[in-house]
Amino acid sequence: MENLDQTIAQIRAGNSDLYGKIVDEFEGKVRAVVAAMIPDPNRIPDMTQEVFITAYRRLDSYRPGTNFPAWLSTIARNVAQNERRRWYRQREKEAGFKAEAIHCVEPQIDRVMDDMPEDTLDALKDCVSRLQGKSQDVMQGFYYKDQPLVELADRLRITENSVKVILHRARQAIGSCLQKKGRCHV
Amino acid sequence: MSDDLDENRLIEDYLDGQLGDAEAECLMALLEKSDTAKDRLALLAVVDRLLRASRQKPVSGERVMKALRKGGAFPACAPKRRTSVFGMTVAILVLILLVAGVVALWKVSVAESDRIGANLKLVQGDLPLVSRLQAVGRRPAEAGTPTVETPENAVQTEPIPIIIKALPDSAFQDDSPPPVGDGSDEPGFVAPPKAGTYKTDEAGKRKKGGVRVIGAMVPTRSRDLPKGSVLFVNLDIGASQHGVFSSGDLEVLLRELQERVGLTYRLETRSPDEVAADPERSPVLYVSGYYHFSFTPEQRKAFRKFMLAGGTMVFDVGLGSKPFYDSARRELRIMFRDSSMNRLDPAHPLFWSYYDLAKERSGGLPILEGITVHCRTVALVSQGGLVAGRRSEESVRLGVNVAAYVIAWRGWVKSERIPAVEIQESKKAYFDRLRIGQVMVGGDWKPRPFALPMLLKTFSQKTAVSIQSAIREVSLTDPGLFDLPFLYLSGHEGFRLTKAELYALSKYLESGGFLFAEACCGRSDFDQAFRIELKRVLPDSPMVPVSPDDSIFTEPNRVKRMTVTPLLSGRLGRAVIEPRLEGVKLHGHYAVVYSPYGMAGCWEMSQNPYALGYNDSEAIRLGQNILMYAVTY
Repeated sequence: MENLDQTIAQIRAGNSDLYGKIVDEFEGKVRAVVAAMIPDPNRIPDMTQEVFITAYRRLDSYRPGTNFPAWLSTIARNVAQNERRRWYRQREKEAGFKAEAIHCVEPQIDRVMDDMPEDTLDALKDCVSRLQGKSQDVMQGFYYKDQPLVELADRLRITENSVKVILHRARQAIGSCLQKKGRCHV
Repeated sequence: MSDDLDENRLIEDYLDGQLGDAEAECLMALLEKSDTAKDRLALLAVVDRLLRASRQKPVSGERVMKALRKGGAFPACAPKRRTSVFGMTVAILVLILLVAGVVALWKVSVAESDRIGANLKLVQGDLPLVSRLQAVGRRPAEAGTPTVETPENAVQTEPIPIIIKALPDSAFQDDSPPPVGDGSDEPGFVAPPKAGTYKTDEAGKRKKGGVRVIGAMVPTRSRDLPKGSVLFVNLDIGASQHGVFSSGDLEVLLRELQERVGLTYRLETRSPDEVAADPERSPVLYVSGYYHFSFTPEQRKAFRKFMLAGGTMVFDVGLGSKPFYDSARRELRIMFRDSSMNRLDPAHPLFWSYYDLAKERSGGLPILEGITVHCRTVALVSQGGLVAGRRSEESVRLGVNVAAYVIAWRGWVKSERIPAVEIQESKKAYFDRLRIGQVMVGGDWKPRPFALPMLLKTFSQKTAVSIQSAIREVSLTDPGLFDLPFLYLSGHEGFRLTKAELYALSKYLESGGFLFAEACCGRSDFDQAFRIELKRVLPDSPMVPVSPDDSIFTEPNRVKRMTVTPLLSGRLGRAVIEPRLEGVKLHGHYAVVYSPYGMAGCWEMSQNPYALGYNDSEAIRLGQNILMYAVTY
């Protein structure tokens, strides 16, 4: 966004409607940070909204001339961390082990996020598009078309275990691809 | 190779949401021993989450703007409310229906409670934290948008603060005649030393009177001082108090802190009225002197607020001068009428937060007294001169410990954002059924005042049994002890029961009473004292570990493994342990259950950096089990 600081100055001066543009511009970045850090994907939209509401309320603390995306990202991390804590505290018995496992790797998740490229969701799209053959089919079917593993196995005429292995490798490949992109940014 | 395959399979199943209980345990065990596995799971979990997020519809600017308007961020744009006669009528009808519903629910819960614990009596009590508890206990599925409601912000991002009852303004007034004169004619007064008395040689490392002397006593030049943010604010309470010390001694301490610990902080001097209320700007208020002093009611109120918000006050009695010591105690008593000042036990973190003084000091530990609120010592009085007086290695080590303690707590409060806030106590009374006695013994016997109410709230939600509580502070010799089916004993410090208390507790337990005791923050002084005293209470019934198969660990929650605080994890070498409870069985069931590790901090959802205890959710689950055991056996 051109003249970001100017837009923020106008918002501070009372032209609050311009804030919608800021949201549209940075929504993807914020959603990526929130999504990577919170365990419950259903809460992503609410938490993303909350980040922008918090940022609006604290807009006075942003210093023009500094890095606005980084400032916003810090707020996103704080909001996500709060949500994460809340989720662990309130988790039900059934989710106990799952939550425990994720709780155990929280520091590593935060480190992984540090290595991600700034435009994470765009980079992810690119990484997914590089997958080929069955990996691409499985990835699209599982994540974008909500097809269960059994259905995918049936359609691709392979066993369910093979689908899981393909999915696993595809995730690993995407992870490496994202990490490489993150390093390139640095 | 097969290990690798297993690891992959576990991680795959985890990500696909197909992990069974047994497999989940295997995964946990794997993660505990392998950092590589943690890294792999973390990367794959992030990829999985990003993939799920990438297909979600973006949150539009329009949606956020709508939420902001709804939340009142733009008052000018907020829709105006219209009140009509029809609307008012509907509102009144809804209110009547709600009241009728609440009464009906109350009746149902009375019947339910009676079924579970027929011996529990109905009394009136007071639960001032209902709104907070409701917010805490809300389940994720029910919490559509906000988790905790605050008046000004419908979308809550801050964790729940520690809540303290507010004192009325009148509480900050003197209730006893103020000291007459400056105290210089009183017994125990020690005059400030004259300039030059304590000068050492240039090296500043000479032994003097058997004590290693640190730092030359020449005035410090400002350019030699560490920079960085402010740690100490030297409170200027009158020029006559200082003699030649105060800021000079603190400067030595700050330099030592920089050299030894690598932390760079600086010092400021301000008058009591200039102190910033924000502990971030002035974490420690340091007050030293020799003569009587007093604060105004406004200053007392401001200092109390400062301490509850995360700040610390240190009163350093110059050369043990009694008038200053008496004034410090008097001021703290007025500021904290709801807490008592206690001598800090050897297990207090101030004695080991950086240097383990108990091991290193041959001449015994220094006498420190403090006021502790929710496990944090917010005010400290040093009788023998904390940094003032001799600039000995021992004094500096104690000073470094104080700084480490304050910095650790400051970081904790900042990261968790759980400063204490004051509330006005609710006047509303509730009909309660489970009567719990908080046992008053020596020392800080109520370190976590809201732990039990919060646990009871989660218990009611977990078991769908509405149990409101009446928590009564009770001494063991109180005749009403036998009306209380459940006693809770907690604390930090050691204690000793009188013969009358021993007899009463023994009779109480033999008659079917239940005692749950807990070493708050896992403090060893309390632990040792409790074991000794319990042996005196029930000499023929030793305390034994509660078996993992006992219903205490299985009903209503199956608690097999618990994560622990970083400090306990460091001591045990493991982050996850089997829960540890001990108990005494009388007539076939546990009459005493004891946790040597801290749980109450977790029930308040604000465990602290110096706690040897469990983490939040696990301790709540175990606490629910203990309550269930107590009300059903």
